[in-house]
Amino acid sequence: MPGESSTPGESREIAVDYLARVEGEGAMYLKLDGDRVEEVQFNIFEPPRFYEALLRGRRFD
Amino acid sequence: MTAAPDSRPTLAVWKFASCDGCQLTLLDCEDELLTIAGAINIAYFPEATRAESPGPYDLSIVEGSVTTPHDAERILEVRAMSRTLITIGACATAGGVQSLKNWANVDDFISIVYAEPSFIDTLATSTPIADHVEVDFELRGCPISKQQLIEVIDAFLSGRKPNTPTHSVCVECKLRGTPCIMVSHGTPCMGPITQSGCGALCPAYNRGCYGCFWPSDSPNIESLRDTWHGLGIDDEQLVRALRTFNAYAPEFKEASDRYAG
Repeated sequence: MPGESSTPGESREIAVDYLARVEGEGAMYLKLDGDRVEEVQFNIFEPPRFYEALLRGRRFD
Repeated sequence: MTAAPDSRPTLAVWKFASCDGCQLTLLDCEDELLTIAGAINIAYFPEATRAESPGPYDLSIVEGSVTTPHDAERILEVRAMSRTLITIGACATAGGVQSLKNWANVDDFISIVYAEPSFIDTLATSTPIADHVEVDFELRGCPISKQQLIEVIDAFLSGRKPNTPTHSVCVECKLRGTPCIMVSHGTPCMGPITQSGCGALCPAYNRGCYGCFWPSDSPNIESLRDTWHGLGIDDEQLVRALRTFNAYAPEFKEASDRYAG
């Protein structure tokens, strides 16, 4: 988890399977080599709601 | 001394396609939250805590609508591990604003909104939870009322029917002492055909009701249409008002389809 000490060359993986404190839900996967980030995956699993498409043709008020 | 086994009923809170606002109403209880947490064991509520206990659960509160093949499967699993299942909010009880896609071609929407349409896996429709599984109670609102949520949880704990009136917002305007904005200002208002529960919030601030709380019991939409026509509001605008938060609620859907011609 974040905050742990890192050793150069040591490979670490951080997987947060539920990022709740964002609008919509997602998950994040980090792979680190020491302090160097090797890989980042951000997975948005919040289902699409298509607000941008629904708003077309509607008045602002 | 050994601690007595936890005899409190377990609560799980689930999210489908939604904005999180309704389940956050539970955390918004603030003054009442400790009392609620004392009476029920919050066993699964990712929005509040990462600590979770395995099911089955005595009470599941479900927010959001079913819009993906994965969620259509997941709601069956949620139902199977829930003794009582209550849906909260316009998404879970009526399909939500996103049910507007039910009138459109979802493939067009995907390409309008997303740069990489191939990443998007979605059903053609957004449907309420009760279209997929048996639901024990539906709490209306976009978002739901905190007081009504507490009432529903309290009713569950004491094994009684929740007291959530199905009369119109007009009743709440009268209780609040708000003069009718449609009669006195000529402001178009959905209040006469919308269920109460919000405390008639918008009319108290001189805004017409937007219909967040589902159709009221036996709504006279035809009469409202006549009144709106008298105020210079045409059917196109009326259809848009009906197709908003509870667009797929049966009475609003049927009327909007009829007036859309």
